[in-house]
Amino acid sequence: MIIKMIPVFGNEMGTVGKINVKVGDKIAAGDVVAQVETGKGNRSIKASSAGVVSKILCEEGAQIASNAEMFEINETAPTNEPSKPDNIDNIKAQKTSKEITTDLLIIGAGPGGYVAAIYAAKNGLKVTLVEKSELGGTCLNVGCIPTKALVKSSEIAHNVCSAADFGIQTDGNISVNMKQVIDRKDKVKDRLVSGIDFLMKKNGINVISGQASFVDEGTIAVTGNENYIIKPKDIIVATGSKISKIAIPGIDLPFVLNSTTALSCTDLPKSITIIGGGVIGMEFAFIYKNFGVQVHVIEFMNRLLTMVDSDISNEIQEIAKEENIDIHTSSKVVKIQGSVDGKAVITYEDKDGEHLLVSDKVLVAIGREPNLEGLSIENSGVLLNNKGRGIQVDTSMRTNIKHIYAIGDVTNIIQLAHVASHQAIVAVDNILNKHKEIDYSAVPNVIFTAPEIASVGIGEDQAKEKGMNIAVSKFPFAANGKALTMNEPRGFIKLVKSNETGKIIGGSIIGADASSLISILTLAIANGFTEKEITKTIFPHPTTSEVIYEAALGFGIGALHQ
Amino acid sequence: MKKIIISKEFDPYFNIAAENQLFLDSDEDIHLFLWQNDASVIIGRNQNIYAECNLKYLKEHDIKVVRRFSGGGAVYHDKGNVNFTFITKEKTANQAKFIEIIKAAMAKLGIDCEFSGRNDLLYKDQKFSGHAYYTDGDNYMYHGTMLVNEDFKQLEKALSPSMLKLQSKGIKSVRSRVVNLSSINSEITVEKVIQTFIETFDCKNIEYISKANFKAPLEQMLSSYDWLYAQSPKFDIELEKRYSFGNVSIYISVSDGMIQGIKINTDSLCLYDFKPCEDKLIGKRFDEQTVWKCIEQYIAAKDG
Repeated sequence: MIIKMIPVFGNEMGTVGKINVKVGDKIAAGDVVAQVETGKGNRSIKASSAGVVSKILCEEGAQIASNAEMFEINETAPTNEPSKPDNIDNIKAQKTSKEITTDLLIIGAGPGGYVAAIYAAKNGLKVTLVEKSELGGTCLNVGCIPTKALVKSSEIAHNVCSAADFGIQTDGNISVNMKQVIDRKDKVKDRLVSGIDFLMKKNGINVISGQASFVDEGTIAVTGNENYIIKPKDIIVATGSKISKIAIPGIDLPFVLNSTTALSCTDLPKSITIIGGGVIGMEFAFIYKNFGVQVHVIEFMNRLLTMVDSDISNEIQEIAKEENIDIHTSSKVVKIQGSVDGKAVITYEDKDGEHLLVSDKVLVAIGREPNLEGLSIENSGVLLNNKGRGIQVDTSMRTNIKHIYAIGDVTNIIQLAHVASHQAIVAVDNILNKHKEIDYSAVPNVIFTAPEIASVGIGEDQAKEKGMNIAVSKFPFAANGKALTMNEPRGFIKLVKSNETGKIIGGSIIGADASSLISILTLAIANGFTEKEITKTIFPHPTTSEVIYEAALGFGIGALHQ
Repeated sequence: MKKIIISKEFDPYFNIAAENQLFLDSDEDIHLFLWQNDASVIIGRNQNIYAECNLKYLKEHDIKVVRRFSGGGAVYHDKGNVNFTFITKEKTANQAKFIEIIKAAMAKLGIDCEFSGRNDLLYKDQKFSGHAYYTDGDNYMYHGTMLVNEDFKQLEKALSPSMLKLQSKGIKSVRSRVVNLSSINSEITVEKVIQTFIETFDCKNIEYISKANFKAPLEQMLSSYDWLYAQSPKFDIELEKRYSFGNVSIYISVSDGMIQGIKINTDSLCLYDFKPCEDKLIGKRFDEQTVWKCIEQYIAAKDG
C-alpha cells in the first residue's frame, strides 16, 4: 500500500512537517504518519490500513504535491531495513553554495522572465535566469499555447462534423482520439520550450534550475541540484501566477480537474461541468463542446466573461446556448459529491434554490493568483499591493526597493503573457537607465471561444461607468462577404470613440478572425488614430478586416454595406 | 446551537488543550472560543523549538513554550493579547466569513484593516493579528491572536533564537512588522476587544470554562518533552565553544529529539580523539548542556 499526499486544491504544494514513523515501524489503520502544511493550515496524513513502513518517500521540510507518494506500507512481511541517520559529511556538503555574481538576476522563465533575459543580454548585460520548473512558464507549458493546440484540434472536429454543410461527405462516424490530441499538444509545447532553451544559449544567458528565495534585499539563494548564492546588481521577479484556491466541499474528488490537469487528461468525458465562466472556463467549454462532450457551465456572476462588454457576453451566451452548452449564471456551487456509479453530482444554488447537475467530470476554472511560493519575498523588504496579492510596482515596473523589479502575473495588474513580455522590456530599459514607463491604454486581449472574442483599450461599459463622452459604432459579421463564405455569420465589431478628442479609444470584436483583427485596432489606438485614418486606408476585399473599415464609417456617413 | 466559550484560565497548556477538545467535539454550528495566555511562546505544529525561540531567556523569565496543533509560525502571547478560535466541521468552515467577522469587529473599534496573503490582518502594512488553521478528520478550526497591548520588548527577546547555526527542516517563521491596537487608538483595551467580539458574533449563549469545570485531556501531553522537543522536525545544528585548549565545534543531526549523528572537532594542538564522546552521545536525547558536559568530563578525565 502507498500512502499518498491528500489532494490540495489548485495543486498547491504542501510542506512536509513532522514525520512520525520510521522504516520498520508497525502502524495501525488511522495512525497519523505525518503532518503536512499548506498555507498556514496543518493536516494530518493517516494510514489507510495496518502494516509495516517499508519506505519513506518524502522528507521533512520538503515541498510535496497533491497525490505524491509519501510512504510505502508493507501489509504483510516486515522488512528490517534500518533507518539511516544523516551522515555528517552530507550535512556539511549541504551547506556549501556556489557564489556567483551577475548584472541582472531574473526569477522565473515565463513570457515575462525569458523575454527580459533575451532583451537584457542583447543590451550587453550579464544575465542569470532561475526557473524552478520548465522554461516558458505557465504560458507555454500549461496555459496559452497548450490550450490553443486543443482549440485547433477541437476546430477540426467541428469542421469535420459540419463538412456536409460545405458539400463534403464523410463516411461513417468520426471519433476523437484524445491521447493523440494531448500528444500533439505536447509536441508543440516541447518544440517551443526547446526553442527558448536555444535562445538562452545563443544569448549567453546563464540558466539555473532551482527554487530562488530572498535572503535579504541584495542576496538570493537558489536551491536545486546545485545550490547558489547570488548577489546581483538588479533583480526582476517574474514568478507568474498559480491556480486560485476555492473552498468547495468535494473539490478534492478524483473526477475534479483544474486547467492544468485537464490539459493532460487523455480520457474524454461524455459530460463535464465547468465551474467558472471566465476566459479559461469558456475556452474549455467550446473545446469540449466541439469534441462532442455535453458541457455545463456554472458562473457566479450574472454574465459570462465579465472582462468584456455586456453585449459581447450576451452574444457568446446566446451562441453557446445554440450550441447546446448548458449555461447557469448568477449561480453558486455549493458542493460536489460522487454518486455510487462514480459520477460527479454538483449542487448549485440560484435565486430559485438548490439544483443538482450530474456529469462525468468537473473542471474548476475560477482563475489564477500571483505566485510568491518559496520566494521568501518578506526577506527582501518588497511591499505587496494593497490586498496583499501581488508585488507592488510603479509605472517603471520598479518595486519600493530600488534595484528590485517585478513583471507579469506576480504584479497582479493584467494577467496576460504579452503584457508580461512588454513589462519585461520596460523593466530592462529602466535598469539600463533609459527611463521608460508602461502604458496600458492599448492592451489587446483575446479569448479563443468559437467564434473568437477580442478587445483592446477602453470598453463601452467601462467608458459609460466613468461618465466619458463617447460614441459607439457597431457592424455585424452577417454583412461581411468573407464571413459568410466561412459559414461564420455570427458576431459583430464595435468601436468606441472619444467625442472630446475624436480618437478611437477602444474596440471589441466577436466573430471570425477576431484574434487577428484586433492587432489592427491595437495599432490604431496605440497611435491615437481617429476614424479618418481608418476610413482613408484601403482594406483588402474579400476579408474579414473590412468590418473595421465599415465600423469606422459608422461614425460618419454610416456603413456602406448595412 | 452556536455558542461563545470563554476561558477563565491563563495557562497556555490548558487553553490549547481546551481548544483541541472543543475542536474534537465540533459540530456543524460555528462556535467561537475566546482565550488569553500568560507570557508564552506558541510555535506551529511543524516547527523546530530550537530554531524559533531563545530557550534560555524563556526559562529565566518564566515564559512557557507550547507547540500548537495548527500550522504556521511562532507567536508570542501575554495578557496583552486576545485569542480567538472559530470551531466547526470542515464542510461548514468558511474562512472568508471568519475574516469578515473579525473585520467587522475591528470596524466597530474604528480599525480599518486589510487581510494579507499570509493570513494576517494588517493596519497600514503592520500586522496586529496572525491566523492559522487546522483540520483533522472532518473537524476544523481557524484561530488567531490579536495584539492589543503586548510587550514587544519581551516578544523580540523571546523569539530571537539563541542557536543561530541551525539548519532545520519543517516550517520557519516569517518576521513581520507588528503593531498593538492600543497604540492605534489608546482607548482600545483587551476587555473592549473581547466585548466587541462577543457583540459581533451576535450570540447570547456564553459559556465560561476553567480547570474546575472543563476536562482537557491533552494538557499533560502538551507540556511533555516528547511533544515540545521530539516533535521538532529533523535538524542539523552546529555548536561552538571556546576552551583554554582551543575551539571545539560540534555538528549534530537531531531527529525525533534524539542525536542521530555527531561529529566533534577541535582546532586544539593537543590531539584529542572525541570518538568516545561521540559514541556516548549518539542516540541520546539532544540537549546542549548535556553535550558540553560530556565533553568537559572527557577532557577532565584525560587531562587529570
